[in-house]
Amino acid sequence: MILAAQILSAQQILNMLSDAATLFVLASGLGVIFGLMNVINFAQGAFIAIGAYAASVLTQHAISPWLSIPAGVVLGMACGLVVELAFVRRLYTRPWDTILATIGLQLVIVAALSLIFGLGNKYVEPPVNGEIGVGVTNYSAYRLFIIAIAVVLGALWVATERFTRLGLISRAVMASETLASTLGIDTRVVRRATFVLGCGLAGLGGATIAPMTAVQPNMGDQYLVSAFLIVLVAGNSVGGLALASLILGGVESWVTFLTSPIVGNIAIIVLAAVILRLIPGGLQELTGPWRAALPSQRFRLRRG
Amino acid sequence: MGVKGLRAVEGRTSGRPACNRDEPMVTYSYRAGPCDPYPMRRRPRPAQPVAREEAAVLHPILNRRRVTAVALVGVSAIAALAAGCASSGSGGGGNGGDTVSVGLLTAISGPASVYYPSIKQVTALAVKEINASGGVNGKQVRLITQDTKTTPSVSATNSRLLVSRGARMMVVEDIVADRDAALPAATAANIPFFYAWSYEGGPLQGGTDTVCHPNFWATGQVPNNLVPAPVEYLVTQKGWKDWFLIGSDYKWPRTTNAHIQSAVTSAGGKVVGSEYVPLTATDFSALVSRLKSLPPSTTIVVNMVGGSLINFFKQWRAAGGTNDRAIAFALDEQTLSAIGPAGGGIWGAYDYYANGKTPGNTAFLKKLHAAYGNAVAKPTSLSEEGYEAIWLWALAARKAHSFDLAKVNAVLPKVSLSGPRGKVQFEPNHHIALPDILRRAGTNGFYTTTVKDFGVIRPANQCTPSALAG
Repeated sequence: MILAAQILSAQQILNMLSDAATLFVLASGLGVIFGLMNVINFAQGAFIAIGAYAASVLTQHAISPWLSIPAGVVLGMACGLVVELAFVRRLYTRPWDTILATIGLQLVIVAALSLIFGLGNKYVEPPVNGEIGVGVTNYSAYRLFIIAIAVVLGALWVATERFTRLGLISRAVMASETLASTLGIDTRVVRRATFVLGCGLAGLGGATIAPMTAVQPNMGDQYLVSAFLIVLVAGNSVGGLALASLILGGVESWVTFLTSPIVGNIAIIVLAAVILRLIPGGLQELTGPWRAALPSQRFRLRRG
Repeated sequence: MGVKGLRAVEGRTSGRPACNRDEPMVTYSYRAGPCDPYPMRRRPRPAQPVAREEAAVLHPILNRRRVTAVALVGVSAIAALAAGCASSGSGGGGNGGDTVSVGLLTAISGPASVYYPSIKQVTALAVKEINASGGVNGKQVRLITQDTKTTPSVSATNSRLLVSRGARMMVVEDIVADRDAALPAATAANIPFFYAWSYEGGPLQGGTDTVCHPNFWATGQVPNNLVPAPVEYLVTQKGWKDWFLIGSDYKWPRTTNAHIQSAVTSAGGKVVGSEYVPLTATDFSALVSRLKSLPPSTTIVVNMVGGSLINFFKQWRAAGGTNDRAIAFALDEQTLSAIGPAGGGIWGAYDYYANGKTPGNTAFLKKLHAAYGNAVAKPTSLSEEGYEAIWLWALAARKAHSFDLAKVNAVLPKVSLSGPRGKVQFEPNHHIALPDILRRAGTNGFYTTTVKDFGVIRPANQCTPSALAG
């Protein structure tokens, strides 16, 4: 009896971690774009679908599923580049128009996916199958793989932000774009690279969740809401994003387990509202020195 | 060499003439010359007074040319509309002369659109066969398809569109919400209405009362066609005593699960719990944990629909669950293919299987392959009902020698078709006695192992007879 309870709670803890990891991977693209450019990309769900379809194409041609994640990233980045060069770059000074444009883009991409791949669900082969023993219980190997992907992604992101020139430039542009451009940084290129990277991360998210879910042209819509909640709660930093994924994903997982999925959905939204009320700057406030804010900006944020 | 010399050597490439400071500038007003480093822009000329006719042309908005153009466009548009209304007023765009229109309302986009490739093929095949065998009452049948976008408001609009295009019969192959939104237009237009999917039945069986109408004919299964026989068999013959019921959170799963519960308890089993998940849920980890904490001999009924089934079974199998006691009632072969190997062993009870070997189905599949070759989409228990709906209407209209609603309604229970599901004929309660076969799924997207055939099961009365009489 005690062993059963132990197994159940160990499984539930792993469930919580893998849910948080999935949310983190899916929201990372949105967080990159929102953090750097304060642009809300409503087409993020469509790019998630693009990544998932990249994985399904690999499965269809019996190519190794380990390549599905790089394929998702590459396809997401390619589509993001096309979109950016086509019209997004004209909209950086017009945030409201960007919302409208990205909503339209999402409709176009979903329709294009329906035309190219048809309306049916696709099957995607996962790279790892079966279960692995973790402590007292067995757990799905693929979900552990998702946790590993999220950890690696977070580590790469933090390392890039801290230790590379690209990270330094992006932090500068995030702090103040005008000042950064006076230092000779080409902010158009930085914006383009950020948008492309955000779309690539969305493709990564799509390829990651594809083996666990139904691959359909409009599959990204239901992840978009959770991703938005996390990004809004998190603010601008990767630490905030990780913390938000853990808190919101964990709460949803536990509340769903203890009560029902509907109460879980309500709980996550109520919790997001409460967090934003108590910490108006988002959870980035709690994650300390890796933020790019200038001292004056930090003071302003703390004043709420 | 100075700058001037260089220019003389290289030749001019820009538009301005070479600057020659020795040339006198003789002008009557100031004009920028070649040596002027800051050329001025041309000064704007003051407006010149014009004659009245020219003013009428030159006014920014209301001028004669523009008003004439708008008037011409408007008049021609009105004329075109009037001509169009006149031609369609005489019995519908397709009904003039020698064609009769049949309306198909289904989900071509939106979540329920995964079945459309097959629905399109089977309905087109039905129309083709009817036309090849002489049409209906001397007229060729024309199929008009409209999209519901799996949205009730769009469904209502497009059903009215079908009626205005002169459809003499409407087939809806979509979710119940879209069907109920489309039904008023058909009843107002006095045309027969066919619903070609399994659904939760009428008010006498726990379903919705929108179906109690003399125009409403259903070619799909209702819960008592589907549930009691296999459940009783599994409880009594296979010893499946404990049942856990899962469903998507809307009418059909809840009603079907209620039927399952009463069948289980009356056969001597026990329902140990139930859980309903939102249609949009994608992550079932909490549910999977809960199921794994139940004893392995518990039967799990997975009455989810669409993508939820795929998500659930993939996650269930990834967490180590087995399908030995998993049964679903809305898992057609199209969805099964998308689950892949994780779908092996799932139990299911349906009236139609894509790989069924009955003579009716063999002939049907042969005709489909002949028509579509390699592009054939698997017909499933969630697509082929449209074929029979159109054929039954055609047979009734032929027998009644009329498209009139009252005559067709009177004759519909009297015609029968030997089709993919065997002999189908409407009963007086507007539903069909359908086969029910229990099978287990293989890993290749088909139900490969037949466990028990329960024969043809008659549908229970869904509505009070007075409601059906109209």
